[in-house]
Amino acid sequence: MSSTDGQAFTEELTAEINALKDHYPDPHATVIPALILVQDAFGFVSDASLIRLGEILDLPPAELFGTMTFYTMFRREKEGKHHINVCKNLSCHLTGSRELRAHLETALGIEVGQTTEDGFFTLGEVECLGACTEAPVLEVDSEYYFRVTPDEADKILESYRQKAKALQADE
Amino acid sequence: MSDPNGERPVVSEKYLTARIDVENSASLATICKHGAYQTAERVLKQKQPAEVTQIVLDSGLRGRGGAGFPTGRKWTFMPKDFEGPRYLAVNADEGEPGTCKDRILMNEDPHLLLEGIILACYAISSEDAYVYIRGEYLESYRVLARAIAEAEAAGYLGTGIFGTDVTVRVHLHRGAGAYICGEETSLMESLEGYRGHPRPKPPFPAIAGLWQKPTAVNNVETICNLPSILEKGAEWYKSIGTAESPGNLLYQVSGHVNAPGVFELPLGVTARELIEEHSGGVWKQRKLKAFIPGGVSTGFLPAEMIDTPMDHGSLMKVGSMLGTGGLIVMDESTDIVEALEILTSFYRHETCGQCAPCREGCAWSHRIVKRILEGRGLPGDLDQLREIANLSDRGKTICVFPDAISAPVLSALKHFEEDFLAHINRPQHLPSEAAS
Amino acid sequence: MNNMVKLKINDSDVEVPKGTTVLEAARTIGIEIPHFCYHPSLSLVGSCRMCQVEFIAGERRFLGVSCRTEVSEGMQVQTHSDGAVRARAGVLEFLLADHPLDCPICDKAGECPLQNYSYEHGFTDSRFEEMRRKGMKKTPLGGHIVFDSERCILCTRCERFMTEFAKAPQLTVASRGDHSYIATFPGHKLDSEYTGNLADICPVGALTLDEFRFQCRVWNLASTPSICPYCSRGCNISVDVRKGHREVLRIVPRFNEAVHGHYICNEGRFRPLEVDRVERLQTALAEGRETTLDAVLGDVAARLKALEGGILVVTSVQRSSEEIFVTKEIFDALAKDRIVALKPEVEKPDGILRTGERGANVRFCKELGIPLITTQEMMDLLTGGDVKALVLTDPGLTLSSELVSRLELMVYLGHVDNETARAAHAAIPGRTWVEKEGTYINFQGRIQRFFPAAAPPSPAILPDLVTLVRLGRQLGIQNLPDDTAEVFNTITSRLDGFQGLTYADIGSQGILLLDEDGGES
Repeated sequence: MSSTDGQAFTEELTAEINALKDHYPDPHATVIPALILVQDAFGFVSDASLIRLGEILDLPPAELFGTMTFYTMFRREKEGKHHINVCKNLSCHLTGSRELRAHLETALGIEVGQTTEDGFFTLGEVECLGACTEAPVLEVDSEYYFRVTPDEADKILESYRQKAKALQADE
Repeated sequence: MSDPNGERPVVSEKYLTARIDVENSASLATICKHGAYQTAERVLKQKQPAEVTQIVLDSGLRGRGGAGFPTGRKWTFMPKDFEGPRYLAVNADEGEPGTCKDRILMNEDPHLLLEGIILACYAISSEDAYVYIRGEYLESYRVLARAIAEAEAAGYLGTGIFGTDVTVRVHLHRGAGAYICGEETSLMESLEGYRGHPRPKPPFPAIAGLWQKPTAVNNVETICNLPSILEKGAEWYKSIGTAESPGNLLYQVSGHVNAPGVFELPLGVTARELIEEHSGGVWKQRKLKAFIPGGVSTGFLPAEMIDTPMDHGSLMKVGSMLGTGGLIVMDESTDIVEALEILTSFYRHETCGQCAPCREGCAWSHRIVKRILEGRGLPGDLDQLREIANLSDRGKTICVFPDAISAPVLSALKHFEEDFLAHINRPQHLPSEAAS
Repeated sequence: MNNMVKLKINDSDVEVPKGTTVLEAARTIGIEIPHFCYHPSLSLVGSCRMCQVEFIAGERRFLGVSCRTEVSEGMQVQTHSDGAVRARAGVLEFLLADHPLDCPICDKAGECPLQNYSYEHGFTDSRFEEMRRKGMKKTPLGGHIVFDSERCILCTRCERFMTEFAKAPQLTVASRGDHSYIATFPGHKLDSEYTGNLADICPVGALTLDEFRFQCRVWNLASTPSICPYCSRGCNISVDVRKGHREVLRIVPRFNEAVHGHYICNEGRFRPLEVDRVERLQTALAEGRETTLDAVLGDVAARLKALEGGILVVTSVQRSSEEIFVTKEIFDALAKDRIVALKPEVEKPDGILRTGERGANVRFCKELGIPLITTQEMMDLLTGGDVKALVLTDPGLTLSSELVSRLELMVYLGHVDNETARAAHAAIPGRTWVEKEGTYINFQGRIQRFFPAAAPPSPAILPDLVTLVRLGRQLGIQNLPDDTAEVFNTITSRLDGFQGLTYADIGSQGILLLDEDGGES
């Protein structure tokens, strides 16, 4: 059951969504870019957001739900602060992605599909990321990391933790 | 120039990745110093659209997205007398496993793509190009967005570009995670804001595409060929590669090699050359067992075929395809059944689900392969896998997705049946190494 | 410009209008190509692939779907070649492979295309060695519909129906691939007056009706053609009861292109299930005491004749043309222009099927010149002082016993045993519309027949027409037949524009006699 995000669309977000129409002869084409804007704003697309989006775009919420759930990048629920995705397809598998995944599961104490206790990392598996010559590939929040060994994975995870600590210290 | 025997093509200059090592190659100011946009300006001022199409037709350029259809010919399918908008859809949904070349082009030389788009739009009389970028390629999206803004500011995109009365607007549109959206009609359906369900053909996109208007759908790499073709001419282009597969290709070599990478080479180089000369050979001192020539939908080929020239015709002769040129190398330690389980799982995950044969067939095939891998294979399984392929491919569905899964399944069975039998015949109480 | 196209289907030459699909063209020569996602009333998708046929072009043979391929001049189609049959068998096998073996408990059995095609193709075995899929098997979607995701073949008829016909886009396909499932928006229930049709158009047992689940095997149903009485459209329906029994178990639409197409609204589908769920008047009553029909009819006739004027007769827009006609014949002399009916309620038409006019036979009342009055006007008449006797044959009108007591005579003819019937001086049991036959004229001016689908609770309850004719005889009107067909012939010989019509002329689709404005068609 998707939680409601309890956040209304800001004026800016609504304006951004409406501005998408300028690019297309048919406003229906703004559906997926609009969903991306909503997910970028809240981290996920709640049921309430879908209904609100339906009002703005004048489309049935059922249709938006069907469209959104076709695409793997959309999340219906709040997940971790950072999303780690390991590629599971052939080139990465041949060069050690399975070991990488197992290592991450152990290091984070979770399985693929889960979020760490502290809500910091969500671990996922994805299909080919389009960087096969740099396998095994790791993706964190859409940022690609190449030829990732277990040791390097540890360093990557640590870098995110350090960045978060630094931001906290600044506040 | 091709070898008169039509065999090994002569190495030619690079023109796709010629500028990617320039520092700040994504910046307009920098890359213009290396010739960017000069051809587009000259062509717009000196040639008619029909001439551009003719040159591209004469060049023999074939699509680089996987199907290899002649690009110029595709453009000629668009109606001549059509009042109303036409569109160019740029397929940047690079999702074929083993493929990683459009990303490089977009990230490292975005203005090459934009210049190619200007030329394509001019040829087909389109004012609006939509670049459908897979959702995962966030960096490419940002790089292209900046490049478009720069080009617009310079008067190279928008209305009245280069001081002519030609208009070319480029719109970026992100996907959201669906391999099927690399299929032309699924791409258009997704762009229009729907689930990415492929559309029945006919009508073909050239007649009724985006918003039912004539649309040319072209791959990123295909379009990146255009500036050089229009600069140096069709004869020049034909002198590279082979007669039926002219030009350079961005071959990508991944998997069990010492130096995986992307290599711009004339079409027709052999798999052996790619693996041994460019990628440092099979890693860990091991022997080659199998390779996939051009992205997983082109299927498995055994090591014996390593001398096959990597061009459209030669690969079709051996029951495969050039596809995207994404070559995946597998050494002797590879369990083909394990590899196939990964691939069938992929197709099962990515089928849109519209057509019963594809939706059920992909799931069924995956489940059989997984069961074989887990040591619970049955004697009839191999024939059943062949039967599933037989009952779902070659025109029985809306798109060719079943043909895509059939290729690795049937080729694995054809060339590596012993891997399957090893699982099926293994005593049931012993786990395989792979399944642990 | 020639609008016709000539093509060859199997060995037959076929000529059809341009724009016809191959599937429709095959139908014209009696070939029914199997299909799931295709429906004549919905948009074409071509995704189930079940309607594949083979096209011959010179040496080339290739497969294609027939549901959305338009015919072209000189086209050659093979519907039952090896290639075509094999392709369709393949589709069927794929659908059956992971389909739950639910036939023994599935309501759709006996009228299931998936089942029927399996028999036709001779499928007896499965080559599927995997565990079959596990899904949610009884999700209430709202709107009387229960969804079984294991049975669903994702033909998307339901989604297209809700969007295109019901104008309520509340269903969608969610997720992707073999994880796809039909869904409403999370937490939302179906909300439309047309959801009942989903169970009809679903080609498997994935969408079933709450009210009908597990009630009866369809081959144990006796199905009778009838006409929905709740609004003036008069949708054609079948009334299904268990063979040998009385209870209406379900209503399904009968196709009639001119009247309503393939569908009916939920009121027409579900309200009849309640028709017998009232206290039934089982015997004639005199002053509330049981008596015989003949005794009551004799008494009523005598008292009516003794009165001089002051008789009000209330018939009903819900009654058949035959009943209304004999009512007028019988009471014309006694009541003169005081034969009335309650004006039907009027609602806003819903723009789909419901006309908004709440009565089955309003047109016939108007044809006969029967005044339609409001409830208030009725009350004014009854309390005005100059009505001494009321013959009430509209069981939908209830009167307090206090009001009845002010009349010298109150006769009730109806199926409901209520306060009005008990307060009446004479109460005569009638039948529900499900237990009778007759004709209605719908809002288009179309005469349509309905037939009795169930027996009344007691054989002592005669058809209302027979009862009225008997009363007529007691009142001296001897020439009325008590047979509906003969009454109909009497009507048609008498009224302008109906001349010479008999029941045989009406057929199963009705006959358009008048136009919508009331003139002759």
